[in-house]
Amino acid sequence: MNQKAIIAIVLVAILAVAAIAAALMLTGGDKSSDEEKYLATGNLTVLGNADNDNKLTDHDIEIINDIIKAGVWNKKAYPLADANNDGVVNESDISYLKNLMKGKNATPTKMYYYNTWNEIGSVRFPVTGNIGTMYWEQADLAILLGLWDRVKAVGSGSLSEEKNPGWQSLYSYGKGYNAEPEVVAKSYEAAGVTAVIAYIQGDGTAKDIDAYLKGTNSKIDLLCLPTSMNGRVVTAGVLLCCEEQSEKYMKYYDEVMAYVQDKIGNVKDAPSCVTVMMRSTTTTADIRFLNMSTTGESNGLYTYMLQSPSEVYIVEPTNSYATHTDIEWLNSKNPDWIIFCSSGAWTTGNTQEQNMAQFKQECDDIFSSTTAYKNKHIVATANGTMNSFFGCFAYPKLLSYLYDEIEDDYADKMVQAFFDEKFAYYTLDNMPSYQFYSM
Amino acid sequence: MDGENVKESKASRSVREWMTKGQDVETSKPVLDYKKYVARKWAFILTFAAATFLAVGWGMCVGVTDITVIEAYETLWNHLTGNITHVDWDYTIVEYRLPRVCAGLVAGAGLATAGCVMQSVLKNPLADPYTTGVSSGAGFGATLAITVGASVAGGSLAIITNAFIFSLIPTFVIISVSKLKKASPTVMIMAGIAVMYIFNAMSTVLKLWADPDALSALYRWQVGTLGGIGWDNVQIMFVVTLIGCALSMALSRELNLLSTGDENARALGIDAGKMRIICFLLVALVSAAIVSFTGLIGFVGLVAPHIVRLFIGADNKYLLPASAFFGAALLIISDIIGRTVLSPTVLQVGVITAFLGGPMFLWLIIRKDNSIWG
Repeated sequence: MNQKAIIAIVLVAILAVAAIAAALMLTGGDKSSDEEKYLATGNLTVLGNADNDNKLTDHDIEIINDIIKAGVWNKKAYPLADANNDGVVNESDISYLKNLMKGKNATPTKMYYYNTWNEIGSVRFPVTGNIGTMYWEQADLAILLGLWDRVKAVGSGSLSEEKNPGWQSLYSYGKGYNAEPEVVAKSYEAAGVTAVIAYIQGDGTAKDIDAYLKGTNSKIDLLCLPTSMNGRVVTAGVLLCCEEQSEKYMKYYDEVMAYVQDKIGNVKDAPSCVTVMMRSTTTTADIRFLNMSTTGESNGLYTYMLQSPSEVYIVEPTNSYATHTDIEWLNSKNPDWIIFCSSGAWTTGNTQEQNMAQFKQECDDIFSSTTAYKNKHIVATANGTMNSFFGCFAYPKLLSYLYDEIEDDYADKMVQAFFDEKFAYYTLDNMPSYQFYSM
Repeated sequence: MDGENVKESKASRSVREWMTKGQDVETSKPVLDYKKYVARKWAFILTFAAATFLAVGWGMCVGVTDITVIEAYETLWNHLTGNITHVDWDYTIVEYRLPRVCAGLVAGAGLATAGCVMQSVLKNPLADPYTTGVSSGAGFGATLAITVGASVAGGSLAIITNAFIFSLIPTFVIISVSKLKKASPTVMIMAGIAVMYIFNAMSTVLKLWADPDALSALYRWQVGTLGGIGWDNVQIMFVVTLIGCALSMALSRELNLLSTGDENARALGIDAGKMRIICFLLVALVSAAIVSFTGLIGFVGLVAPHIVRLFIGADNKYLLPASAFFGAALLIISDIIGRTVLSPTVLQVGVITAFLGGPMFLWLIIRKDNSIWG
């Protein structure tokens, strides 16, 4: 074949592929920004929650009535008013909402909500059957909502008998959080599951699973909950008919935040701090500092500390969950306190004494040159304490080290309340890494 | 020398008998032997093609939902004729399993063909799209999109578009190096390895800014996976791979001549430098289109041609199509292994090809004729 002809063909092929890519670029991509104005901004993203609070109440019905009377639906102000998702707000939304408010006694119908990706998803309501959870975070949520007895299928990664009693006898979605769609679908046959709480982080397979369940007319609904922690608790509470437990959790959350604001909201000269993620590979040359990110915004130690008056030193850039720096930077900032979450460095099998010894060793190895170390101003706990649903209950305890204004009694009471209210099965005795360790 | 006392070889006796007795050329022994020799090669190609067909059938059956091979093909036939009887089987086969299997088929064929071309062009058994830095360029593009969010395209197209554009950069670097130094095959491979190191280092720097979500997504992409590939992706992969493989096979004669050395190629009218550039562009095109969707799947382009050479020999006219079929079957079967060995947990296909390809390649190196390394 003539070489020039071959070169020409190859160049045409490259240009053709580039044109295809360009065409995809121009026609694909995100939805228009206009739609973002109509998205839910509160914790409860269920359609029908017209007043955008944490519950479906008569006040929502009043607002819908007002919209009907006015003849105009302000979508930006009331994005969730269209309870039956038919595109208009009218009397049918009121009767639809009244049925939803019956909870477990509702006539079977669909409940619509804004999901992880701000698209409208639905569940066959009321959800009273068996449940699946794709990863440990979702298992924690099920336990918090008092649903563990109904969980019959689990993603078994990071589960333990202390936190998830009896998990080994349940149908397994696999160890990782990227469950295969067919495996999830099979849990209906194998375990009678009708709703699965999905792993919703960006690298998950939730969208594939959702498409597969819909494409095969599965009897399973995939719950792709809002990304914020409180949003997950409140929305799941309504979708799964366990508002009592979710409202109880939010009541504690509100109480803790009000208490903290009351005690230290106006404190001058608040102690400064850094928040550190300690791993078994941490050295003075490579320390990982917690920052803000899509994960950090929704939950986590850094987010909690931002709600205190303390200045929390961070490392730029701030678009990442954690950035790496070294002990020189830390000494240059000279924070009053160092708070660290231990991730992977403290095994769940450790006793309290072993954790304490490890904590002291890490302080000696990494922080001995810092002023905080010399003043014994270092406190640590497991990653699971501050980046789980336990976090808001543990928050006053953490602050009690930095602020004299936070009462130890109140802090200890809040920690104990998390377990007294059965928001988890484990205790600090059988999960000693979840305790606080200070110098 | 007295001609009557010269010992006659078998071949020349056959020719003499043919000339003296007027035998038909087609039935002479050398010609028949050659035809048998070619027929054996075609038999191997058809065997590999049959293996690919069976692998596709097996791939459609693997999964939690029990569907036999016959039922799978029946479901496919019903879908094509618009006579869907089992909606859930139809979705499972047509929308979920078959795109994955077809992605494996196209990717395996494309990577094996690309590897075969590279090894012929560079006369180097280590040559494949990865040692030329193409995959590292694609990896850097994907890393850029995942960790920092910097991309030519937006939304879900960010990673794919970036990987494609950046995978072309190493190719142009190698071509430029070859023009500057009138590079030998060894120099070109070294340039590819240098580019690979540079892109890998840049990717590592970017990972410092990654959050756990991004790192996890990056890991899956860098390991190589056939999951999450839909029909729209498969179509693009197929078109580009078909163009690349077809052109490669059309150049099989030129590739054979190139593998004999630049001097021999020139003597037979081939511009070795230009031909090498054309081949590089073809490899980049095919590799970029595949890696953009599957991530970095290793060893297929390296190992498949070597295995096939044991049966087919080094003639690219037969080696290329056989490698394509073998690579396709290899990748599909590797994916099946990954989906079943630790079920319900899935091992990404790149892990399996590394487990299979590494020892296989060691074995090939040990038993390989040392003259190849000269």
